[in-house]
Amino acid sequence: MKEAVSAAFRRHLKQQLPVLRQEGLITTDQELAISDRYSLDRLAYESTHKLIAVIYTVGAFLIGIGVISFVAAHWTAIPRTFKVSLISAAMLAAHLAGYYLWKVSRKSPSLGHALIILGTLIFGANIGLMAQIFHVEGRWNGAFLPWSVGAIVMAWAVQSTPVAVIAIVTSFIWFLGGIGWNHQAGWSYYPFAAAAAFLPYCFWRRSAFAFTLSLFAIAVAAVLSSTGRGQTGLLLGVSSAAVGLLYSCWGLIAAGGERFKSFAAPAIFLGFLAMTIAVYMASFQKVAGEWLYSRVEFDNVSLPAAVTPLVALVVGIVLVVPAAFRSRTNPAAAKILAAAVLSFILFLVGSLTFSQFAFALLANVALFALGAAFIWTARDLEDRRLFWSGVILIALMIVSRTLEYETGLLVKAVVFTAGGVAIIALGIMYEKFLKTRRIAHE
Amino acid sequence: MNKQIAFILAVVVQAAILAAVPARQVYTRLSGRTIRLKTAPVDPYNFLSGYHVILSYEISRPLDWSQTQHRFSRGQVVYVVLKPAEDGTWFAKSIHVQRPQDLNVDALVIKGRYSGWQGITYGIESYYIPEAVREQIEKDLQENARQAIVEVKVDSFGTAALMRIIIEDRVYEY
Repeated sequence: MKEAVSAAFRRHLKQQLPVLRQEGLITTDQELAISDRYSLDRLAYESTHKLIAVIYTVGAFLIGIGVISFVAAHWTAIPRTFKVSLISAAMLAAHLAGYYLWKVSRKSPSLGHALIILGTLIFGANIGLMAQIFHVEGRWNGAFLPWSVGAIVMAWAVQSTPVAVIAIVTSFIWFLGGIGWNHQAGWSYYPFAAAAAFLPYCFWRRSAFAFTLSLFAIAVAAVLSSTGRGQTGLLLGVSSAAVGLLYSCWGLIAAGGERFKSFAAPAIFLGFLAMTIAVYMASFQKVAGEWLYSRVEFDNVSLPAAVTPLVALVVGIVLVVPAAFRSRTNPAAAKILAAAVLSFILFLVGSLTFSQFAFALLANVALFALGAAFIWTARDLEDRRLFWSGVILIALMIVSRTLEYETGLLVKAVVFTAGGVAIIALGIMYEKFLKTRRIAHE
Repeated sequence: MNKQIAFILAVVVQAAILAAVPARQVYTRLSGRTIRLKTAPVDPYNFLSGYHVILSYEISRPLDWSQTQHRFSRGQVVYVVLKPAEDGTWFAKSIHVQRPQDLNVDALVIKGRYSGWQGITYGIESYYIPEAVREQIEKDLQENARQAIVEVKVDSFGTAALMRIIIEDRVYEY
């Protein structure tokens, strides 16, 4: 099986092959064989094709925005029946022409796909128009849910990831607009509905982009819906930490397999982000104290608001086992898992204590563990981004603690100077380490 | 072939969603009984929000409202019995939490929701208007706030649909 190689690599290879031949390193036959192996003669066609697809898609989005602005400008000179016919015809025409060009005649698949995207945008605008024409009352976000439903159905039918992205974004806007207005318990079901509606599509089409967007929307919704009126502050932290554990474990499972390898990085990244937010917030004694105190409100927590953190918690804990199994032969993955599990346990234990000092202390240890794990894993993977993420996390922790405990200016000066020197020293050490590794490889 | 069916189904779903958006309003417009309601100044006193007029009615704070409103919780559904006055407009006779039965032939029930400072809302509080006539309507409403009458249709379920705004002999219908 051919491994996937980037277009950039193929372009570079195409430029290098004649040079290698001129230098006598490869023969003409070998040059042809390599060119054939990487389908280099298709490069020009592929890039033109990609460019056209991007142009059509951008065009479709612009036309869609134009249609939506047209709705906002409110056109009332036309009779009602004519208006309804006009907007329905515009939507149908875009869909039918798109489908014909994309799937039936296959003359211009890119243009056809762009037209289907346009049709879905017109569909969304039409929902607003229908409400306007018939004076339907409702909050502004109300139109986004039916738009999302229509879009995800179309995404499945024609297998279009951009249309699925429209569905994910519109449903998330609907959620944010709704929960911002009225913090009802019912919003807690959104993360489940979004997962059920969008994740199967992402797996089916193996779209890492749509998957990342879905995971982001689900995580934000899970955390937001367990906070607010009548809920306890601690639930916010627990939700965030539980989502962090769940995403990290799932990401490690995906990384250990073949099918969804491209889903692993975004899942682990979002998981660690959620975990970091939870432990970073709890690392402040004031927040830790408020969260611990908010436990007295636990009796008033509505069931739906508790469902999301509970499910994330249970599934996250269950996934630790397969994640450990998948990571047993990979030291970097094992370190990442250990950091996620350790920081989660520290956070959970802290949240069960009765001392805000103990909770904040454990959260600080968890934060340090996450930073240290990043730096340690960066050694294994030789990944600069991971290294600097770890360094920044630990620096952030030190700066936050220094500012939190209002120490004298002299102490602050010492801490900041020492911190700055340490970061520079660590950076130099890591670069040296990378250099020796590179020499060893060569 | 299956792909084509899936595509056609998706288009049908989108069309059905579009049709469902105004379905309730269309039913009320077709089957409802026409009544006229007196408007009341909105609080804050601002008639326009984007591209629609904000309306408030006498029946939004009916009867002895400052006393009665404490009986309801925010978002609660209420049924208001309306009766015609001599000037042709309708006024609130009574408020109920359960839909009242055995009404007189000349009375009808309109369904509303207790919405805090807005009083009772009936889903007829905003009316989309064209950009070109925005200023004209706003001026007319501000100058003749007391004369503004709104014609609505109310169906057998108590749902209301806003038809037109009438200020003296000027009719605004969009």
